[in-house]
Amino acid sequence: MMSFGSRHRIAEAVAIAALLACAISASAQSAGDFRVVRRADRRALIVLLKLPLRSGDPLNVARFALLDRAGNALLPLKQLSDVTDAGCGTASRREERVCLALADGAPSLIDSHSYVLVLDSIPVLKDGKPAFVGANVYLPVAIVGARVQPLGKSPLYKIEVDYDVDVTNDSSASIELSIGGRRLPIPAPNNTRPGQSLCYNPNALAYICNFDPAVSVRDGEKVTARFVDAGSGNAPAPAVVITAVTYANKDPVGLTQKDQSLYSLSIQGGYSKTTTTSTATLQVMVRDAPFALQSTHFGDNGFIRYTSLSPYLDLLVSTDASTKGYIDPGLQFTGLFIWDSRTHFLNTIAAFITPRAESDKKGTVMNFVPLDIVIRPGLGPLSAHAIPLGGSIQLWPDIGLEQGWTVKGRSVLRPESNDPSRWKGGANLVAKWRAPKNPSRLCRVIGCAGFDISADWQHYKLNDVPSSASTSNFDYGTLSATYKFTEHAGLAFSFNNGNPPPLFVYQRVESLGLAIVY
Amino acid sequence: MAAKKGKKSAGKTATKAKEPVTKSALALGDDVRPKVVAIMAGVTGQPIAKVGALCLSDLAAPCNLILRGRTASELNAEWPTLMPLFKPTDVACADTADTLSHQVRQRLP
Repeated sequence: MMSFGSRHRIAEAVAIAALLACAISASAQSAGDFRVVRRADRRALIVLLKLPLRSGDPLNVARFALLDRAGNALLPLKQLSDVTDAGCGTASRREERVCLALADGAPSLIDSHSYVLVLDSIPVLKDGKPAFVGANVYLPVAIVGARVQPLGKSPLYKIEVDYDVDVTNDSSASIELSIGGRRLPIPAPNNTRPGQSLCYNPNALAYICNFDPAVSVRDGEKVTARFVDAGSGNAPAPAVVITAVTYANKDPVGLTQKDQSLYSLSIQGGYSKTTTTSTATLQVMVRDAPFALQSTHFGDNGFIRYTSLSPYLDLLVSTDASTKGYIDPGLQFTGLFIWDSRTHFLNTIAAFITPRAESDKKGTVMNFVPLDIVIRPGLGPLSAHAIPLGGSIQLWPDIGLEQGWTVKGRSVLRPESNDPSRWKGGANLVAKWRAPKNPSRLCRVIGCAGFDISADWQHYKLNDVPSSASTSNFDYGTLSATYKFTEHAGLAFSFNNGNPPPLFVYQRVESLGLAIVY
Repeated sequence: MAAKKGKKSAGKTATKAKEPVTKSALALGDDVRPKVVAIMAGVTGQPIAKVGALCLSDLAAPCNLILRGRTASELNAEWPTLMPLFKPTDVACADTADTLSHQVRQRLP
């Protein structure tokens, strides 16, 4: 028997639901920030959040409503959210979920029925401060199904399959994955939690299969999944067809996947005052775009060893004839050795091995340098430190060796003998100030996304010099200051001074122009 | 071990400005975010109070693979039982304390 209060509440909810039905397409404050899963006993819905709840206390959900779309009937909910271990998962899992139990006497959820769940304000912590989510949000709760989530970029480090029912602590069923019709073996390490079926993540309430090494998928290939009996329980595997997904290289990265691509790209061009005249220059630096040999090894106490292979290009060309410039294309193998910086002063050793060609802009001399190794240590606070006005600074010393062969221009007179062999050492400094929190009007008009200063100095000690050479020591330095209108575009002033390889001819370039930085 | 480290980082936190964490949040046992904030502050060299809603690339320059790797390393050291552990490429320059905390919670055993 329903009380008057319950009826009143239902009437109110009906009104809300009716309003929402009218505005169903206009809703969605951020429906993507929530996911709804049915509890295994079909007596509750679990709303998964991306932010932690402000309190572990039961939430008053009297203003929430659940509409069964099959019969347009409202299903009464309990006034308070379920915060018991049995009903909503362990305490750490409850931090990011609200469990809405059906009122006693209400019919259980039916897998073949779809519902609409109307939320109200849910108190959470956002950026460490009290906030609310959920106001004016309605969530469609579809017929029970399962689906492979949109994929990240190939190669794939994980594949996620969302199932609309919570199967925490139910190891009776598991999933099988296939790519392009080929069965994909799922490695047990990293995918097995005690008491859970393979890949099942009871925090995310989804099957998340991790792969290391990553698995490749080709454009147009289907990634399919199906439930299988794990043979460890009485219940049969769910009779639900898991919706497959087709990989398309052009697809944007899915909501549940993070774009794991990374690259460092800097293109700078503009009007220059060079060694002898005024002209135009172009500087390009490309690195840190791993495409092969990616591998991560984990050690004790946070130790990580990471390796990867990236394309590499360092280029400075100018229309000024006396500015020889340089063009250095190649590949860069990166090895990172990282220790917990809270316990290690030497927190990083970065090793870069860059087999490459090097040439002046006209190709007068061309060296092939198979061995260009640079070691860069990360030392305590030098590897990142705060500076005034909200800035940040990093200083990385480096030491290296270059050895190669001269493949063109062996007869060209220059301060270095053929087949270069050089030691090098120097430092790289980067300082950055982010945009002000409250930008001025001018700032808003022209755009302000921060200010960067980058300086690099290298000293070269040549091991073989011709007898006519007066010195075997050369220096080359670059400095650039960029005012960023947007995150990736700005006005840059750059200053290059010194004797860069392969010709070690003095050059000085001052350039003001557009910079594109990623 | 992890608990010991947790205490250590909490100690460091105490010497600097503390983030406002409500009593009820502590009651819930949400100790993930304060630790993530301390890690982000340590890795970027910024005071804890500055971390707030800023992402890694706003906190440090440059936000490169090394910075991301150091963040991953400290997260793994703080929570050695994460499944899977963080790789350098799992941490994005756009990650904030909130998004990293969410990822940590999702990876808890």
